[in-house]
This record gives sequence, structure tokens and C-alpha cells, in this order.
Amino acid sequence: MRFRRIAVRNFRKLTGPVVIEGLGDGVTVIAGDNEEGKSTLLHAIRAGLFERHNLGGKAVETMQPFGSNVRPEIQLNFEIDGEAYVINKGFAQKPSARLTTPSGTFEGAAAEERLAELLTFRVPSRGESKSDDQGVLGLFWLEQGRGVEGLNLGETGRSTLRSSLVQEVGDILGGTRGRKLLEAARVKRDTMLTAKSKPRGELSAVIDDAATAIARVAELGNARREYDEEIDELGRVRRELARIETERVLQKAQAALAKAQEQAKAIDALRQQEEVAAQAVDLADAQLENASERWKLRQSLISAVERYERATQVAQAALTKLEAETQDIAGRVDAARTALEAAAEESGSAEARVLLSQTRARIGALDKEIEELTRRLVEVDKLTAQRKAAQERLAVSKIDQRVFERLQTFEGAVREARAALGAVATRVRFAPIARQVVKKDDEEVATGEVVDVTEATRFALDGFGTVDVEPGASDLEDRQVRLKTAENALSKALKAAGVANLDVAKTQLSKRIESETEVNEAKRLIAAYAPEGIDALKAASTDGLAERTQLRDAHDLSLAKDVADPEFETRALIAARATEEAARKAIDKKREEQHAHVTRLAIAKQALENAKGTLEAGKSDLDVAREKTSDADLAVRLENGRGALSEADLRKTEVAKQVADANPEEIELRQAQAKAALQNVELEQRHLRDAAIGLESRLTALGTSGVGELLEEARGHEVQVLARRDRLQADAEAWDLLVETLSRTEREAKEAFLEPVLKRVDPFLRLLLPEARVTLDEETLEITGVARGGREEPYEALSIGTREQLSVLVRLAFAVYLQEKGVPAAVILDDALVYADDDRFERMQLALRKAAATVQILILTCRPRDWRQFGAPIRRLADGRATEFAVHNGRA
Amino acid sequence: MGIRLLHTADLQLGKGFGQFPPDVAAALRSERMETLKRIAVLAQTLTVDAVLVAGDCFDDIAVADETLRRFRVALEPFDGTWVLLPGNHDPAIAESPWSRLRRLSLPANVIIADRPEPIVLSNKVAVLPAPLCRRRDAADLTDWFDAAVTEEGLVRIGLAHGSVRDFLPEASEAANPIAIDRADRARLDYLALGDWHGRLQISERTWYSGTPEPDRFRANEPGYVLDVTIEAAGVMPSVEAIRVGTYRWIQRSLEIVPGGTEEIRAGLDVPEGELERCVVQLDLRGTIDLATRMAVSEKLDDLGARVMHLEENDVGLVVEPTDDDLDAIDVTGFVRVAMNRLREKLHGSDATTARRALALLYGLHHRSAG
Repeated sequence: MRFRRIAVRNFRKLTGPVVIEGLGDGVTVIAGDNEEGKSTLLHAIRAGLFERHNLGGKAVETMQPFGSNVRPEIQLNFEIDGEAYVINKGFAQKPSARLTTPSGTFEGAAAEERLAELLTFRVPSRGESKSDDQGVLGLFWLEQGRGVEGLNLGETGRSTLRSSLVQEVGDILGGTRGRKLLEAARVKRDTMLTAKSKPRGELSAVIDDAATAIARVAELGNARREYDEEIDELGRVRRELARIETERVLQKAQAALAKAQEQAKAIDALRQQEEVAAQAVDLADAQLENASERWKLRQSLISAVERYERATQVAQAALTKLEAETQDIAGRVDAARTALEAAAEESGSAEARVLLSQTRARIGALDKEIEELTRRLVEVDKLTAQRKAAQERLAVSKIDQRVFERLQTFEGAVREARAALGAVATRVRFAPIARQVVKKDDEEVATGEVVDVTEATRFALDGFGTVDVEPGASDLEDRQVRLKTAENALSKALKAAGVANLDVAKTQLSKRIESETEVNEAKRLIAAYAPEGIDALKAASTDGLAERTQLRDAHDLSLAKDVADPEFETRALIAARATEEAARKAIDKKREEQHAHVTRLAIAKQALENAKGTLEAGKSDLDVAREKTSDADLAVRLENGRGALSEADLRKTEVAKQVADANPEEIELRQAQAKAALQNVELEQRHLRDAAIGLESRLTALGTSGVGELLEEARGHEVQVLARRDRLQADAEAWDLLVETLSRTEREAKEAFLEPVLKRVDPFLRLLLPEARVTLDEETLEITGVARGGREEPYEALSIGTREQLSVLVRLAFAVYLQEKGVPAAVILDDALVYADDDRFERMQLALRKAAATVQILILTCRPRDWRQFGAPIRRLADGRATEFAVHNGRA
Repeated sequence: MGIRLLHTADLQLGKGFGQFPPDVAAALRSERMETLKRIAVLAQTLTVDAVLVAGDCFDDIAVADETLRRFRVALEPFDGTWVLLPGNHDPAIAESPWSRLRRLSLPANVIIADRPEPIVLSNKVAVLPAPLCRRRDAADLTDWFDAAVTEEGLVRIGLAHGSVRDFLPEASEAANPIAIDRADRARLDYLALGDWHGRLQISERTWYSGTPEPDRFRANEPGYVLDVTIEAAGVMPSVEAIRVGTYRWIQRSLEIVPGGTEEIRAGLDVPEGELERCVVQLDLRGTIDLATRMAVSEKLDDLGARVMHLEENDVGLVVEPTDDDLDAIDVTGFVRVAMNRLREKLHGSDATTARRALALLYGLHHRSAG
């Protein structure tokens, strides 16, 4: 398919007619600035081919230039296989469609139907044409920026492409049923196997069950074996017990032991005799000892009597000697007593002299004391009288210090009041020329001197008459009253004190103080003479006199002529007393000696008595003993005992020899052996019985569970589970093989199906990405990615640039493929390859040049200089505007 | 004055049937005990003198206590004498169901014949037992019967468990041999045998009763007890088989041809009403296509729902997918390619898996189509 002329009028931006004519077979670059209507041109071509002419509503409005209601018109002239076609479409008012073909002209819907058939697209039943409707041409016309989105092959386009492929390679995909079978098989397989073909789910469970079943059989088999072994063991034990029973093993051992015991019994009898002989020896020995004891006892009795006799004699001699000493000791005691008496007398006399001496000294002292006391008493009497007189004077005196001070106070007040009056008095001084007399109240007033007048006063002036002076001070009267009051108080106090004035009071006060001093002095002296009071002084005097009288009456001092002073006499007394003490001690000592002697004498007497008693008792004991058994008898018995002992010893030796001859050790060994043998048999029997009981009880317990039945059951179960496992495993393997085979054939089919397309894509792709291969979804025919270096990269993961370039390349390849298959195809790219760098852009241009050998390619661009080097004709939209929109019916 | 006995053997109580699903196993297990009860009731009804059990009352010496207790209860309906002989499955070894039963205490009418000495019953019969005291004995334990002295006029009956020499098929126990002419040599009026699970007459006076309740797939007439009447010592016994078994164990080998699924039901040869008491084992043989295999599976599923238990062995059934089979799934597309590849493998080392894979695919298709 090749466009030859494109004319558009009143279509969106393209209001004025735009006509691009003389389009060539290969690449044509159509240049236009931004906003010039380059993309609108592509829309117009689409509308001209795919939209129904009687389309209404919004779809048509969007075709009309903004804000106008004109009729959008499109005319496209194109060739298919060298035949010329023209499609005219007008929208909105008077919508029309006309297709001119080599075989005739079609109008309206018929024109559209015919066109759709020709270009393998679908006329929409209603509304706008969708990408699903637009067939392969929709795929090949790439709008600005849509390249990165992949192919977006619509339904009709896909169908066209697929039918071309099926036509070439046949229906090797087998449709959806094949895929459903594969999917169902895969679901089955996946319930049993993992992605890595490991068992899972039911299969895994049955494999586990099989292992469990095998283990259970093994376990029960072991239990069963043990059970059988224990039964065998029980049988063996029982047989062994029976053997012991039947072979009379126990009885034989018992007989052997009985025999050994018999022999041991004989030995025991001999040993008993040996013991009896030994006892006889012991008895004889004891009897001999007894006889010998008695003999010894008798001998000791005899010797005791002899000893007692000697002791009696010694005691007698001691007593005699003590009795002889008694007189001497008595004499020494008497001499000592005489000496004591003399010393006592001397001591008494010395005491009397001391007393006399002391009495005499006391009387002398009393004499002096009494004299002194008497003198003091006289002094005290005198002082007492003086004090009394002074006290009497004091008693009549009314003026004391306090009274006097009060009077002084009153007088002071009078003086003060008078002075206050005087201060306000009217001073009058008379100065007579001659010696005239001035009188007041008939008393002459001294002239030349100031007279203070404080009250109305009448002065009689000689030769003059009288002058009345009346003082006029304001408070004169108050001051006068104050003076009068003070004077009254003073006069009243003086009267109470019984004195005429203060001077008299003062004299009386002096006298009073004098009397008080006198009283105090007398009191002090009396206290000095009689510190404990006058009565005590008097009593002391009386006592002294009484004592002296008593002493004089009691002692005859005449005897005291040659008596020395008390000190001397006292020393004499101490000496006499010491002498007396010494004598007393001497006599005590002598008396002690005498007392000790008496004691010794008594003891000696007692000792003699005792000795005599003991001797008597000993003699008596001996007599008694002898009366019982004579000394001679005892001697005979001793001799007999010795004989019996020697006889018993002999017998004992004899029996011991018999025992030794019987070889008891051997017999003992035999007996021990027989005992051990019997014990062994018994032990074995017991062990066997215990073992039997143990086994029986264990078997009883084991038997309860019925291990045989369980094992049988487990074995059956094992067979079942293993069979099931094998069956499932075989199934799993079969599913695996089935899925694997189906997957492989499906993959191969897919690859074979797309091979013709991919074969066309490869040369284009090599220009861009050498060594890479594009992968397509055989269903949607969409690009899924790129395989390079053994790795598949998903389309979405590629860069925007690569995606856009890839989608352009695949479009080119599809277009070439379809064109070859006789399907009309032409490529229009609107500002594609915007994401390409210089190198890629150049490579893409190579690809375009390659495709252009087969299909027509229109490139809409706003950058015509990018294409200048490409060498394709460049048309400018602006140039097209100059041309008239002309309809060339049928021919370009 | 004659005597009448019931002769049975091989009750195999406590047998697990573990090769079956648990519910089936439980039913089979409990049915053996029910059969014993039926025998007891029968003995009581017929007023026989005794019931002789010729060995293998129990399947194993290590049966559960509960089995022993149930056994004791099952004997109760018959108040005559039970003579129980230890067999090779339950020998009278040191610890056995017999010693355990004695410990549980048995009623006086139950005699455990675990010693080789005559047992005189009602002063009419002398039973000579040959108990097994180990699992396998190389000696003929019935030897002693020959010299056994019994009172004049008593009916002499031998009771043994083992294989009659030179008579039974090789499959039977080689151990525990019994002389074929023992009855004559020991002047027995009747020799009651156990061990062979099918009913079998050895001589005029020697019989295997077989197990009263079938327990394996073997066509040898199990499921009976023998009703033995002996008029007097020396008189020929009259033996009659009475059916007491519940289940039938059926084993069939079926040849399946493509499209021929009817054989599965027809080959059984069992009336519809009896199916539910059948334990069935089918060995399938033949070479068939996938479609037939699918139909066979459906038939088997149907049969399985009708019988007590169905066990199928399809190892001998070879599935060869045909073009029709494969065409039914897909004619073109990658699925068909895959099927062709799998079919190529049917003659290689992966044949089994590939065959199964094709069958599975066929099943998937079948289900999705259905």
C-alpha cells in the first residue's frame, strides 16, 4: 500500500486545505513545526480510513476546528499492487463517503465496507473506531510518544497477522483446548510434586505413611520376636525346673548333706567329752584351790593371834610410861599459877595510882574553870543593866529617823510655797527723808529695805498717814492658799511629834541614835562573854562546882602524896599489865601440856584395851575353826586335791587326742561342701522359679495387647500403604512425564509458530542490538522481551529508548512480512525515535531504509534537519497549504 | 448307643486381614467369631456329644486378651463338651492362648487337649489328641495313638493337626506330618484333622473339616463343619457337611479384549444377591485400548460398590493407545505432538510411565469432555 496524495480540510488545526502530493514508494519526511498540525495529519488519515462518515456527537466535534461548525473533509489517494484507489470522506453536515476503485465506485456505508475489506480493518458498528478495529495499519501508524508502550496490536490486527502465520506454518498451537489440558495436567502434577519434582501433598503424605508403616511393622516385629523369645525362655526355664525335679537333684544334695552332718555329729560327741574332761580339770583345780585357801586361812589365824599378843605387851609398856610422867606436869602448872597471881596484884595497884593521879589533876583544872566563869557572869550582869537603861530611853522617844525626815519634807514644802508667794509679792521700800517710822500692823518696818507685800497691807507712815498696798498678781491667792496649807501640815506634824520645831526634833533624833548604839554594844559584849547564852554560862559554873565537890568527896587525896603525874603512872600500869599477860600465857601453856598428857594417857589405856580385845577375839576364832576342822584335817584335804587335779588333766589330754584322730577339719569341709551344693541347687531352683514368674507376668502383660494381631494388622496395612505409595508414585511420575512432554511440545509449537515473524525481525534487530533476539507472546503477539547472552530481559525492564526503538523495529518487520504476504501495509511514524541517541538514531535510520525497500514509510517530524542526511524527500506542511484542496476523482 | 460330634478346625480367630481396608478387615475379623457362635448354637441344636476343634482356634499365640474373652463367650451357647486342640498357629508352648485361657478360667465343659493322653467323654468316647507343643514338629505326633490303650467298647477318636503325608498338595505344611493310615493303625473310629482349610476326605475314617469361615482365595470348599455320627465302636462313621460360613472368597482371572467389558461381571459367576458377601480378587489380562481401559475402570468401580471387597490386579492388562484414542483427544496441535512422542516411548525403558501418562491424559480429556 502506498499513499500518493493526502488532502485535508477543516480538520481540527488544519482549517485551510492541506495537500501533500507526489508521495514516493520509499521514505517521505513530512516536516512541520510544533502546533502546525503534523499529528493532526495522522489523525485525519485515520479518520479518513477508519471512521464512519456518518459519525456524530462528540467524536465529530473533536474533528472540527475549535469553535467552528464546518465540514471536515479528507481525501486519500493510494495504490495497492499498482492499482489506484481514492477515498473521500466528509463529516458533520452532509456526511459522505466515496471509494473509487479500479473496479468501480462505492458510496456511503458500502464504500466503508469495501475499504475495510481491502485494508483488513473493521468498520465499527457504532461510535468511534477503536484500536481493536483498525487492523494492522493501526499498528503501523505510530503516534507521537506511543512507541514505548509496545505494539498494542488490536484484535483485527492480531487476527490478520495470525492468519498470515497459520497460512504459512499451519495450526500447530492447537488452540485453547490444548492449553487447558496442559493446565489441568499441571495442576494434577503440582498436587503431587514440587517445582523441583520433590514429593508433596498426598504423595508426600503417603511416602511418610509408608515409612511409618514400615517402622511400625519393624517395631511390632521386634516386639513379636521378643515375645517369642521370652516364650522360648519360659519353656527353657520350665524344662530346667522339671529336670531338677525329675533328676532329684535337690534330694541328692540333701542326702549328701545329711551324711556329712552325721559325721559332724560324731565329732560333736567327742568334742562334748573333751569339754566334760576340761570341766573336770576345772573342778579339780577349783577344789584344790579351795583346800589350799583354807590352809592358808588357818595359818594366817595362828599368826594373827601371835601378833595380837605382841601388840598387847607394847601397849602396856606405853601406858606405864605415861602414868609415871603425870606428877611432874602437875607441879609445873602450880608454879605458873603462883607467878600469875603476883603479877595480877601488881597490876591492880598500878591501876589505883593512875586513878588518883588523874583525879587530882582534874580537880585542879576545875578550880580554874570555875574562877573564869564567875568573872564572866559579873560582866554580863553589868552589861544587862546598861542595855535595859538605854532601851527604856528609846521607848519614850517619838522622833526617829523616819519621823524626822517627814518633818523635813513638810518644812521644805512651806519654804517652797513661801518662795513662790514672794516671787509675785509687791516689793515696797520705804525711804523716809527723815527718820520717820513706818509701821505695819503696828510693827515698825525697816526702811531702805524691800518689803514684800503679798496681801492687802496697810502701812502707817509716820507723818504721812497710811498707805494701803494691795498686791495684784493674778495667782496670788492660789499661792497664798498653798502656803497656808503647807504651814498647816507642818504645824500638825510638829504637834504629832511632840516638838516645837525642827531643831528640837533634830536634837531628839541624835539622842535616840546614841541610845540605840548603847543597846547594841551591850548585846555584843554579852554574846562575847556568854556565847551559848547566859543560862548555859550559869549552868557550866554550877556543873563545875558540883563535879569538884563530887571528886573531893569520892577520893581521898591524902593517899596521893607519893603518886606521880598521870602520864608516868599510866606507863607503870602498862608495864604491870604486860607482866601479867606473860604469866597468863605461861600458865596456859603448862595447862595445855597437862591436857595433852591426859589425852595420851587415855588413848594408851584404850589401845591396851583394844589389843586385849583383839587378842581374845583371835584366840576365839582360832579355837572355833580348830573345833570345826583340825589343822591336820586341812593338811590332808590339800594333799587329796592335788591328786584329783593331776588325774583330771590326764583324762583331758586323752580325749583331745581322740578328737584330733577323728579329723574334724575334713568333716567340716565335707559338710560345708554339701551345704553349698544344696544351696546352689535351691538357689538355681529359686532363680528359675523367679524367672518363670517374671516371664509369665511379662508375657501376660504383653499378651494382653495381642501383639500378634497387631503385627498381622500392621503388615497388611504396610502392604496396602506401600501399594498406594507405589501407585501414587507411578501416577506422579506419569503426570510429570505428561506435563513435561506437553510443555515441551507446546514450547516448540510456539517457537515454530512465530518463527516467520521472528525471522523478519532478526535482521532489523541486528542493526540495533547485535546478538539479541526479540521474544513475542504467541497469543497476543506482543513483545515480551529481549533474549541476549542467554538471558531473557522483560520488555518492561528495558530503557524507554530501547523500548521505543524495539517497538518501531518490530512494526517495520511485521509490515515487511505482511506486505510480502500480500496484506496492504504502510508505516507512518509521528516524531518517533525521540529517545534515541545519535548512534541509535543513525542505526534506526538504517532500519527504516531497509524496510522502505518493501513498504512505504511516512515520517512526520518537527526536526527536518535530523533527516536531511537521510536522503529522503522532505515535504513541509506549510508548502501544502498553498495548494488548493482539490478532489481528483479516482486519479492522483 | 451311638455318638454324635461336630468336627471343625482352623478358626484362626484374631486373624487381622490387614491387607484389606480397615472396615473390611474389621468385618472379616468379627465374622470369624460369629461363625464360632453359630457352630456353638448348631451343636446345642443338634445335641451333639462334643465339638472337636482340630487345631488353630487362634491365628497366633500372641492374640489379644479381648480375643480370648470373646472366644470364651462364643463357646457359651453349647453346654456340651468342647475339645480344643493346639495347632501350629496356637501351639501349647510355654506361654500360649491355652495357658492364658486357663488363667482367665474356663468352664468345666471346655477341655484343652494339650497333652498326648486319652480323654474319655461320657464313658462313650476316648479322644486321643496329638497337640502341637511347638510350631513345627518333624515327628508324627499321632504315633502314640497306635499303642494307646482305651477301655473296650469306647469309640476311639483321633484329633490331630498337620499334613497327611503323600496326600495333600505340596503347598500344604510340610512339617507336622500325619501318617495316611493312622486311623487303621491306631484302630480309630474317626480321625478328625485340621490345618487344611478346605473340606477334604482322606479315607473312610479320616477327614479334614476345613475352616468354617473362609479366610483366603483358594477354591477348596471352606465354610463347613462336619457332623459325625458313629453308631458304635468299629462301625463306619457317617459324615455330613453343614455350611456355616458367611463370606465367599472368589478369585478370578479374566481375559479382557478391546470393547469387551462385560466379562468383568459375567466372569464372576455369582448371583447378584450374593455379591455383597463376596471378597473378590480379579486378575485382569489382555491388551486393550485406552477407551476400553476407561470402560473397564468404570465397570470395576461399579463392581467394587456391589461386593464386600474387590481387589483388582491389572498388571497383566496392557493398554495400547490406538490412533482412535489419540484422535479422540486431539488431532492437531502440540497435544497431539506430545501424545505421539509418548506413544513412541511405549517400547522403551519408560514404557510403563508413558503408558500411564497417556491413560491419565485420556482420563483428563474424558472428564473435560464429559
